[in-house]
Amino acid sequence: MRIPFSILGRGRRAPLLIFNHTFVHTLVGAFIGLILAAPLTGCLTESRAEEPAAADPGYSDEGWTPEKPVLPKGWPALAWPQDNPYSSAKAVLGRRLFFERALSRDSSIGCASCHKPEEGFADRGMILSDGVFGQKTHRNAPTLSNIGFGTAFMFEGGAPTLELQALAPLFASNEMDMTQEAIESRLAADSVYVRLFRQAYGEGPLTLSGVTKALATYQRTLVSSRSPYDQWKAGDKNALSAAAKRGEALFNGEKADCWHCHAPPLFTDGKFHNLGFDSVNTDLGRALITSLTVDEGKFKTPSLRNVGLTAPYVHDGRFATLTQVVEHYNAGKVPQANTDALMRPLGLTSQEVSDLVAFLEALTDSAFTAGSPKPENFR
Amino acid sequence: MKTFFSFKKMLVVASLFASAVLLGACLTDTKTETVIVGGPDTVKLAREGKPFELRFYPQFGSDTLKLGKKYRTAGGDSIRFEFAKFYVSEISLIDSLGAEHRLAGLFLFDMFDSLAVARGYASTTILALPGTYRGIRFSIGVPNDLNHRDAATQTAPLGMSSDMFWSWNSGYIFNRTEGKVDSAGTQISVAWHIGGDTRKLGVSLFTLTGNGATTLTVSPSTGGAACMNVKYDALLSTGLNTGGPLKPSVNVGERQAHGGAILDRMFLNSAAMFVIRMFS
Repeated sequence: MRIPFSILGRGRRAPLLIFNHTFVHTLVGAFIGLILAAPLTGCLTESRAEEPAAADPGYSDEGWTPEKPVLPKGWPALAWPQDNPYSSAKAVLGRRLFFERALSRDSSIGCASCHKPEEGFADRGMILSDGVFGQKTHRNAPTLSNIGFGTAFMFEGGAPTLELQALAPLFASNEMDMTQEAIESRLAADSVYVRLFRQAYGEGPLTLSGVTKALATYQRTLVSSRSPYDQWKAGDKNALSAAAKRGEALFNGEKADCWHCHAPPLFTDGKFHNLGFDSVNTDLGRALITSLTVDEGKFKTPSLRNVGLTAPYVHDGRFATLTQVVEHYNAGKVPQANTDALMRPLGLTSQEVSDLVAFLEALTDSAFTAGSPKPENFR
Repeated sequence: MKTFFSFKKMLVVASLFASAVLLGACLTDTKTETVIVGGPDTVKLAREGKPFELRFYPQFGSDTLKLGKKYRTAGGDSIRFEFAKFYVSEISLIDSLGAEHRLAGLFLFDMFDSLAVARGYASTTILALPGTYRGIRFSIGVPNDLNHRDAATQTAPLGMSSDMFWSWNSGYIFNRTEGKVDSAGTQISVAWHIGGDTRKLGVSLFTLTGNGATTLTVSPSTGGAACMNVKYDALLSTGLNTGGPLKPSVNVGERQAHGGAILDRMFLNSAAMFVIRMFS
């Protein structure tokens, strides 16, 4: 058996390796070695990740079985973070946590108190929502429809991930007002959660990070894509009323020009705009994050999915109806320098305003709102 | 026989190669220490360092700031403080040539924890190399690379239990001060939260050469200390509109600082909060 001298270091002239029998064996050996080592190094790498890559057993809870969303053709990808990939166990846990009132200091509210599934995961009729001990939130509760597609969360966009966003309401003194210790100890004392955490993360302590990851996983499953508008887009010509069809043409045309910021299919550009609500910005909005004067009074564009269920509207809930919102755009006032360049009088007739509202109401996805029934712990 | 040897040869090479790949993977996996360029020489500090105490004395004017006690501000308000915490990081001692000697640590100082209330100051002790120094530099804030990680997984002094995480902003409040101000017979809450990467405050405290100059000495036998006053009256030195002091009893916009012009104003005010009390 000859081994290349460069390895053995015997000082003899190395044999020619090109097309040499020994070289071929060396190459084959190295290839086999690589194949042998690959799965093991894969295990080493995987062991650093939070979860094993085992097949998902398909957990369910109280008859609710989560599904990793399958997106319609033409939709953007739904990004699952590397450190928090989808699993049915986390979705099951996240859903229960989403409806859990014990996650508030006085056990009066859960996430679902302000983000009700039947109301498009918003808080219909509430300008500001109820926090613990009779307090009020600072802003109107936004819809969570398709929230997993976002890249910046909350109206000023300060939270870069859903995992981090979950910390905001949990710890805000006027919302759920919890502490890390209280969250972990309350859940650890509940045998149901002990079981669900074990399913989701295996053995180990019940942690706040496990809570936020599960909540984020559940929220990423909240995909709304089966509205009458979607059915119409898929070829069902009768899915939209005549008024809604006229409204759709206005929405996606230059006259009403809604699509620039509320582009289908998500009906949001995910960006920040000042819509000329006031001459003075009492709420700084995006500027709270950037400290830039030009960002004062700018707020993240909300999705219009299920907007017919989520009144009142905009960050401070000042508009009670969709008609009022459309009329605001129709007026196109520019009360301050930060007002978005696209704000201008639109010249819509009352019929066109009505048609636009009909179209917006056709974005209601009843399968979506009915698809996440309240679990036992929220009744 | 030749085939047997060839097979054996392949096995040897295969095992050598697999071992090398696995070894590489293992070495990568076990490399957990983070090396920070320009950071402290932790090995040398551990070997040669002596105890060096950082003390922060809360003050209001010439008085010691006490939890719940009422103070009269320059603007004429009656104020009592209920919460006063700040982060200190990126600590360096400055030698006679102006060179920085970085010390290790990120600390959260609570002016009102039980020990600080009992002593009249908040304190921590770290390691510093013996020598004579001209002064000390530190930042009021959290280094950028730690400021935006998942707070749910961070531990003290960071993390949610610090009461310093700005959850809607995904970063930490660097300097948090809260209390109550008398206003028309009622008590109104004031909360000034200074934070954001651009508002990490660099503090440089030096003694000038010449008469009355002191130096900061870290003794080879007993170590040393830097004692600083934290002047909460300075935080209220300048208000938003008038150029005069803050007057939150009247000016609604000066009662809460989380962003915008008032936050920038409070950040500028905070630059005068930290002064030398005594170097030993």
